[in-house]
Amino acid sequence: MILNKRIKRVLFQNKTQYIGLIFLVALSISLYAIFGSLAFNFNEATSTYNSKTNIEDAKFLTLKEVDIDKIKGLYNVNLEKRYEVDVNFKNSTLRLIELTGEINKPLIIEGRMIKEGEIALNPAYAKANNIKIGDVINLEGYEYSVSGFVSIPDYIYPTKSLTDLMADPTKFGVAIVSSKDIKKYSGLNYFYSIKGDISNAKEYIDKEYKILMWQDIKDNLRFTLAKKKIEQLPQLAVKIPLLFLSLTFILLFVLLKRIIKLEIKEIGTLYALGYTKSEIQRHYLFYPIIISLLGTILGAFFTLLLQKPLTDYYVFYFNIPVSPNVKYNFLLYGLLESILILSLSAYAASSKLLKYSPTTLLRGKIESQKISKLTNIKLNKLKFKHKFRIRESLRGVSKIILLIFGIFTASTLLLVGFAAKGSVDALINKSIKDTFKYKYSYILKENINKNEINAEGFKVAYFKNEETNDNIIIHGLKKDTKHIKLIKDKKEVKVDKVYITSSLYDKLNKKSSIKLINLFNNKTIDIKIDDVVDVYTGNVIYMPLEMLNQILNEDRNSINGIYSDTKLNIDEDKVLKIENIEEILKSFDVALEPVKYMLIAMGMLSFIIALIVVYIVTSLIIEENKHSISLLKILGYYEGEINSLMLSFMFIPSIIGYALSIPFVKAFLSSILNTSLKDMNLAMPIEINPVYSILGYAIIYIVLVISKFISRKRIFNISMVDILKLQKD
Amino acid sequence: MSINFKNVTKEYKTGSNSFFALKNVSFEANEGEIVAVLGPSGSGKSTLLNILGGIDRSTEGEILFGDTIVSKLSDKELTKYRRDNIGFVFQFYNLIPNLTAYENIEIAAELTKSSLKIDEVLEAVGMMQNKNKFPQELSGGEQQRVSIARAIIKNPKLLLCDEPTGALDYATSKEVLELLDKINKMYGTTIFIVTHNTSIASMCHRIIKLRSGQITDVRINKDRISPKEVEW
Repeated sequence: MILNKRIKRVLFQNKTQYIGLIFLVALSISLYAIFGSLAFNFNEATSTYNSKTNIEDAKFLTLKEVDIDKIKGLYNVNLEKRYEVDVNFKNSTLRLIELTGEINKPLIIEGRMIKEGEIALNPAYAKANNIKIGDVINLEGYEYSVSGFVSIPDYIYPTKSLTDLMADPTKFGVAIVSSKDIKKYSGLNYFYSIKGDISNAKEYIDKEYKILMWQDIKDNLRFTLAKKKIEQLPQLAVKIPLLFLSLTFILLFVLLKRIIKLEIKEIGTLYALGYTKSEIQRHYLFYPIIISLLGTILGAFFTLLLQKPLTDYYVFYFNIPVSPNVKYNFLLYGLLESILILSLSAYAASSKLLKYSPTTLLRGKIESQKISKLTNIKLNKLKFKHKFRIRESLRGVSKIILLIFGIFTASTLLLVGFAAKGSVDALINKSIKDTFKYKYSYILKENINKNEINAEGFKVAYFKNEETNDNIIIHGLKKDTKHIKLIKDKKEVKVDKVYITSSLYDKLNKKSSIKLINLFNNKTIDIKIDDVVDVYTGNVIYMPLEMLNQILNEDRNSINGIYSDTKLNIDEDKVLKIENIEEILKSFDVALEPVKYMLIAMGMLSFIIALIVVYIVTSLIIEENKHSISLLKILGYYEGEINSLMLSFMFIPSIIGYALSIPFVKAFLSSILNTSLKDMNLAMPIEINPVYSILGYAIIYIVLVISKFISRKRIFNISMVDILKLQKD
Repeated sequence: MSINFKNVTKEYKTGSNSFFALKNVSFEANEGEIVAVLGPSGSGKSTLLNILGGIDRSTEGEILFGDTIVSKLSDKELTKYRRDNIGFVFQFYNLIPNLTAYENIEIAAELTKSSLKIDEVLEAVGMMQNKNKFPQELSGGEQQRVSIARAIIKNPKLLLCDEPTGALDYATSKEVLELLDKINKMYGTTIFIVTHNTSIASMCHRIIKLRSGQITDVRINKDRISPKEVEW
C-alpha cells in the first residue's frame, strides 16, 4: 500500500519517541531471552550433570563402620565411603576430598582429571587464591601439581559448614586428590554416600549401625541453593519483560492515538477516496510490527552481548558448568509476543477513531464538546497556578496514568535492586549482628558441666519435625544470656520461654506446639511454642538451658556449647564445630560484592526507562498544548513560567508511581524469594532502607528535572506566529 | 504611548526565494487612538500587528513604542514588553479550553500586580453570568467577549485586535465593536483593529491601508461615527 511509505517518515519525524519504544521492546525481549536461555541452559546442565556425576540420594554417618558389600547385597542401593580433610592454605581452608568412582563423581571443567600427586580445585577458590593449572601447591607438607578445575556434585555451592549461608571463595574451597594422597593426612573425616532405594536401607542401617547423621540430598544447601536460585528465573523471565511490554503498550497507544487524531482530516479524505477502514487500520498495524522487529534486532544484540557475563554472574558461586549459549527460540517468542501485544495496542488506539464517518473526520472535530464532571470541578478558592495545573492534569488523565505507570515500572526495577540489598543488610543486621553477640561459638562433641568453664555455656540438641521431617535445632540458653540477644517487636526478650525463629515460623506456619523426634535417641517430644523472635536464619528453637536439659533428661548444668569473645584454647578433638561471627559477616560481604554492580546496572536501567517515559509524556504534553503555550508566550509569560505551569504537575504522579512501587516490590520479592528461601531455612525480611528509598526517588526526581530542562528548549522553539497562522489556515 | 513605524520591512526567505510581507512601512499613531488596518488577504496586516505586538520581528526598520525601540529588544525584553504593554484579541478567540471564562481572564491577570479587577472587567464585557462556564459552553460572541476581557485585564497601553469580528455574525460583531469603543473610552487604551471589513474603519480615528506589504494610504478619520452606526 502506497500509504505505508509514510511510516518511515512518521517514525523519523518523531524519532526520539519511537527510539524510546524500540529500546523498551529491546529490553523486554533481551531480558526474556537471557533469563529464558539461562534457565534452559541451567536445567539442561543440571540434568546432564546429575547423570554424569551420579549424584547421591543421601549422605550419612554411623556410630559403627558399615559393611558396604552387605548393604549393597541386601538392598537395591549403591554405597560408597568418601574421606575428606581440611587443610590450611594461605589463610584459607581447602577441603581435600577423595576421588570417588561410583557416586558423586567429580566433573572436570577445565584441564584434566587428577593422577596421584595431582589436585583439581573448584574454580572460584582457584581464582580467589590465584591458582592456575600447572601450578604446584604445597598443602601442609605435601606438594601437588594442579591438573585442572573441578566440580564436585555435593559441593556445587561450596560452603564450609552445612549451616553456612554464604560461600566465600577467598576463605574456603574444595579440591579432589587421589585416595592414596588423602590418606597421608591425619584427622580424616568420612561420610557414606548412598544412592538407590534408600528408605528401606536407612531403617536397616540405623538398626544395625546407629545413624549419627543423615542428610537427604534435597536438604543439602550446597546442592539445592543453585536449583532454588535458578527456579526464580522463569518468573523473572516472564514478569519483568511483561511489565516493560505493558509500558510499551500504553506508550504506543498514547502516541498512535495522538498521530491518528492529528490525521483525522487526511483519514476522512482517504475514506472519501474509497479506502476502507480495514485498509487504514492495517496501515496503523504496521507501526507495532516495525517497532517489534527493530526492538527484537536491538534486543538480540543486547542478548548476545550480555548472555555470557550474566550467565557468569549468575553461576559464579555455583560450581557447575553452564553453557552461555543464547537459545534463539526465546528471541522468536519474544518477537511474537511483542507483535501481539503492541498490535493490540495499535488496534485499541485506532479502532474507535476510524469508526467515524468521512464527513465527521473531514470536519476535524471528533472530541465530545460535553464538559465532563471531572473538568467541571470548582477550584475557585485556589491560586491560579494550582488551578491551571489541576485542570491540565484532569484534561490529560491518560497521560497521568501513563506517567504513574512509567514511574512505577522504573521504580520497581530500581527498588528490586535496593530491596534485595536492603533485605540482605537487614538479614545480616537482624539475624547476625543484632542477635549473635559472641565472637566465637564452640560446639563440643561431649557434654560438660557449665561450672567447669569460665565462659558462658549453652546446649544444642538436634531434632526433626515429626510431621515434615525437617531438621530442627534447639538451643538451651542462660535466661540472661549476654551472647544471644532475642528481639521481639523491637524489644529485647529474656530467654524464659520457648521462642522460635521467624524462618522456622514461616515453615511451620503456626506457633502453638510442635512434635519433635530426638535424632539421638529417636524419642518423640511435644514442645509448646510461646512466641516468635526476629531471627531470620535457621530452624531454631530457643529455650532456657534447664528446660532443655529436663527434656533431654540430662543434668541441669550440662552444656555442650561455649560462647566466647576471645579464641579459646580447646583441644581440637573435643570440638565438633567452631563458628566465627566475623568470618560469617565477611563471607556475606564477599558474596554481596557483585550485588553492588547489579545495583548500579539496575539504577542506570531504571534511569533510562524513567527518562524515556517522562520524555515521551512531556513531549506529548508540549505537542498537545502547542497552541496554549504559544498563547501564554503571546500574553507575556516567560519560558520558565510556562514550563512550570505545564510540567510541574508531573511531580505528583511521579510520587504516586514511586510510592505504589514500594509495596509492589515488597510483595513481588517476597513471592519470588521466600518460597525458595523456606527450603534454605531462611526468611528474608523484605526491607527497603529509608536511605535507599530517598535515593531511589532522587533518581526519579533527577529524571523529571532533566526532562523539564530539555522541554524548556522545545517550549522556546514553539513559534507564536506559526501557531496563529496555522489556526487561520 | 505613541507608536512610530519607520521604514519597517519583513522579509521571509524559503530556500532561494524571498517574499516581502512588509516593505518600507512607515506610519505614526497617537496614544488613545483606535487605528484600523485595512487590506486584502496577504497584504501584511497581521504581520504588521504581530511585529507591533512583539510576537514577530522585523527584518529592517525601527518600531518605536513611546521611547522604547521595540525592534532592538532581546527575546526576554520582548516578553516583558508584551507582558507590560500589550493585549491581544484574535479572530478565533484562542481561549484555553480546559479553563473557565474566569480562569481564562485570570491567566492574564496573573502577569501583573496592577491588573484590573476580574469581576469588574467581566461586568464591563457583559460576561458576569457566564464566568464559570468553559469556552465550549459559550457562543462565538461570548467567547470573543472573554477574549477581550482577557486582553484588557492587564490594563494594557495597546490593544491589538486581529479580525475581531471575522468569525462572528452581524449583530454579535456590532456588540464587539461597541465593546472595543467602550474600552477605548473607559481606559484610554490605544487600539489597533486589523480587518477585511472596510466599514469598521469608519469608527476609527486613523486608517492605514496596505497592499502587498506596502502602505497605500494613511489618513485621519475626521468623520468618525459610533460603532452603533457602522453598517455593512
